[in-house]
Amino acid sequence: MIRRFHKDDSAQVSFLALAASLVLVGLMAMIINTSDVVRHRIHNQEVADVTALAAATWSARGLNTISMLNILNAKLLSMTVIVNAASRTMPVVRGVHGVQTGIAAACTPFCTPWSILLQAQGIIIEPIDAGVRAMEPITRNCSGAAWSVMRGLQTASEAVRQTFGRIGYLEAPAIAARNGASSAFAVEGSLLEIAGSNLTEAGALPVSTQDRTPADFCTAMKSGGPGFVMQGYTEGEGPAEHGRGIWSDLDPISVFNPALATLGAPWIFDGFYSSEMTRLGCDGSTPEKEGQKVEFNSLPQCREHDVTATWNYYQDETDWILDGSLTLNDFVAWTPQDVDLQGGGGAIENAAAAVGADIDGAVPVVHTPTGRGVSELTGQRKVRSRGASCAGGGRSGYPIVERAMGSDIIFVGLRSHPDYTHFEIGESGLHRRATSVRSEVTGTYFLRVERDEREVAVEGEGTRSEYKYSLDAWVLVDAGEKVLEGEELTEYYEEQSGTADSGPVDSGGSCGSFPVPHLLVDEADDKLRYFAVVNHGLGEANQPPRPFWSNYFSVSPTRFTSFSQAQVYNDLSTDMFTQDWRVRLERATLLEAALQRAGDLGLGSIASTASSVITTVNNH
Amino acid sequence: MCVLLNKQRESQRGNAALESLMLLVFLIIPLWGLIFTMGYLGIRVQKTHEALSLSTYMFLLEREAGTDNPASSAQSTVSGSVFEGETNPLQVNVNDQEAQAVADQVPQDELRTLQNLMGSVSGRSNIAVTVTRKDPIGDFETSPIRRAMIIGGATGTYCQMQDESLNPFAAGDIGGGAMALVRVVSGGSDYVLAPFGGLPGGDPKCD
Repeated sequence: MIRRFHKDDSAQVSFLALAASLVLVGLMAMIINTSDVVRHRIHNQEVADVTALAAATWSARGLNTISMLNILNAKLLSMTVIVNAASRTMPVVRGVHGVQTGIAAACTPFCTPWSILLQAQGIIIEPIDAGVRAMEPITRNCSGAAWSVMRGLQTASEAVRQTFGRIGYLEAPAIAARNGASSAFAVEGSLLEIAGSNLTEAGALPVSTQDRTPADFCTAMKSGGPGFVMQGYTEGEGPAEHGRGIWSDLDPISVFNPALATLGAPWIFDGFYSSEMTRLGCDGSTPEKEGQKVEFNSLPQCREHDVTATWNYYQDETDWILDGSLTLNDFVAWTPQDVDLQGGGGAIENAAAAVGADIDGAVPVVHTPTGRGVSELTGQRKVRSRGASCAGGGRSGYPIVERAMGSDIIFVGLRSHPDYTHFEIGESGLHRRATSVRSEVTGTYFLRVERDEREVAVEGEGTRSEYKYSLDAWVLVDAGEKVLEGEELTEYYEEQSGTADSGPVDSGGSCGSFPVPHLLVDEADDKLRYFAVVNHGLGEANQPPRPFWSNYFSVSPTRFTSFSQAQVYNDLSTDMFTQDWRVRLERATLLEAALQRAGDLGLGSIASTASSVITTVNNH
Repeated sequence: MCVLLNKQRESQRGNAALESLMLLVFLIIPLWGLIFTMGYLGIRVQKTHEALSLSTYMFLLEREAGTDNPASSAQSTVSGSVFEGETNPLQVNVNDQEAQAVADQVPQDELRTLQNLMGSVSGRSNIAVTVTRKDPIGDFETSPIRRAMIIGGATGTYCQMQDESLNPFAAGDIGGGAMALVRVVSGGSDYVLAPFGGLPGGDPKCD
């Protein structure tokens, strides 16, 4: 039978063809399935790429925003230089004009053409002078609105520095999830430095104001740079230099055009411009940080630095009046700053307010004599000033004043004097009475009111009562001053602004803090690289649809892990005045470098294992 | 006997030839055809992925450079390099406001506004690459292969911010308001500062 079976060769081709067909079908399915797996793997790599780019994009966006704010601050600072120079120029120009007008008048009629020229110059000067005077309050050093805006922009930059990179950390996995990834994360390169990473700065952009001075704006203000060229400035010309040209170039369209040249306006302006730039440290000198005289505005500072506070003692009184119901509070009025000052008394309060208005950080409060008693005051006078040492700590810094005890006079500290009531400048400028919380800042004052009464005979009415009120006030006018050096100076400015900056460069130190730019830190490279890892499982939710036959094949691997690396770069110029930060993919070197460091740290076995994993998942 | 045996063998040979022919015509050729077609499809799919990657990257570059209509620019660049010489090359479509596409399906104004805001803040873009090609045999209908990728927002370079169509704040109701604010801060201040050096004399260099 077996022999016959061997001899029977009918339908052999059909059998072989069928077997071959089955193999072909199987091969075809495997090819399709493998193609499907490869397609998923490619997709996973694409997702890893956009995930790394998404994280880097937020950093680039943050750096561009800070660059924009730095440029805006450079423009504002330039504006203050130009306006301040112009405001110093105008009185001199007017003086020269006045002298020349006098001379021309004296030599009339020989100097008639000159007189006509001077009249024309006067017509030109008037609107310029008016415009400069209108701008001057805005740009006045330290207290002008422009300075508040600059400090606000610096604060905004700091907020961007702290947040944008961290938003990128959140955005990266969100982007990956939207593209079908199971899980993903992105980290900045500096975190892969293992032992060398600074976790407190994780996610923060690699810019800082540490050790920066206003002079760091100088190059941008004077010479601009690629960022300014991109924005339309002439090469080698920043906004300050551009503005100087608008004012003092001997150009018909310049402000101090040739028509004013005979008054010396362009050259006078140039002199004051140079002076203003020098004041910012733009003449190449380093702004002096050491040995600055600092005026303190609070008794805690006075105690901390062992200096002496100054109190002024004032007296005032009313005429004999009919109203006997006035109390201490009727002699105090606190109103918001935007309320117009009324005429009349209240000079004691105004004295206190004026002190408060000069303090950087203190809310300037204008005291208006709305209290009934204030309008009755006849004329206060300063009696004396008295120093109060803060060396004792604790409650020191208050003067010792006399107090009547029966027939005796004793001396007690003003702070605990029972006859005086303590008043302070309101935090929001609102009406505020004596408080239990002692902020102890300059402008703090103590009041005492005494009432005298007399009976006066009035014709037809018999007698009537008349009253006279006497007011005594002690005002804290300053909390001492001292020349601070070194760490003491640095700590003082850190307390004032919350950051370590150089402090004011002009003398006096009343400004608190000048704006300084956020610039790149030294080791920014690794913080501007982002490493993303994306995980993707076959058949999971949010995945692209798979063909039905995929279910019949279990092709390994069923999960993919891809990684990618993106870099934030600025090809135009790597600085914080060039708003051209971009992102790009680059060869993924961070993890390998991290493993190298791990090996150097003696973590050889871990590094070896991780390295083999990388080799497995490396799709690059 | 011998003649009879030979005839029988010839008959069997004829049957085998016929069977082989039938198998070839009805099984093997279609199978190989399918394999070739699937392989061709796979190549097209991979080409599409390649086009998507390149389109994404080119779109980012064009957007950062402030190019007008970066999607179109990316499409022409990628189409020329990936499907060079094709009469029916790929299309690259970019929906700058990812949320907008979703919002279009939802009539509620409030939701639309919210989504516009979210889209403005994230600035995400949805890049869709569509490849339509005829198969080489010509027996199959043209079947577009579409691959999409959602990418992160714009980096906000100076040139990018100059072009409203590229600005992440530009689209949508609230986005328009935010754009106005950005313009006030960055652009408007230039005019205020113009006499003092704020407004430069030349044009922005955003070629």
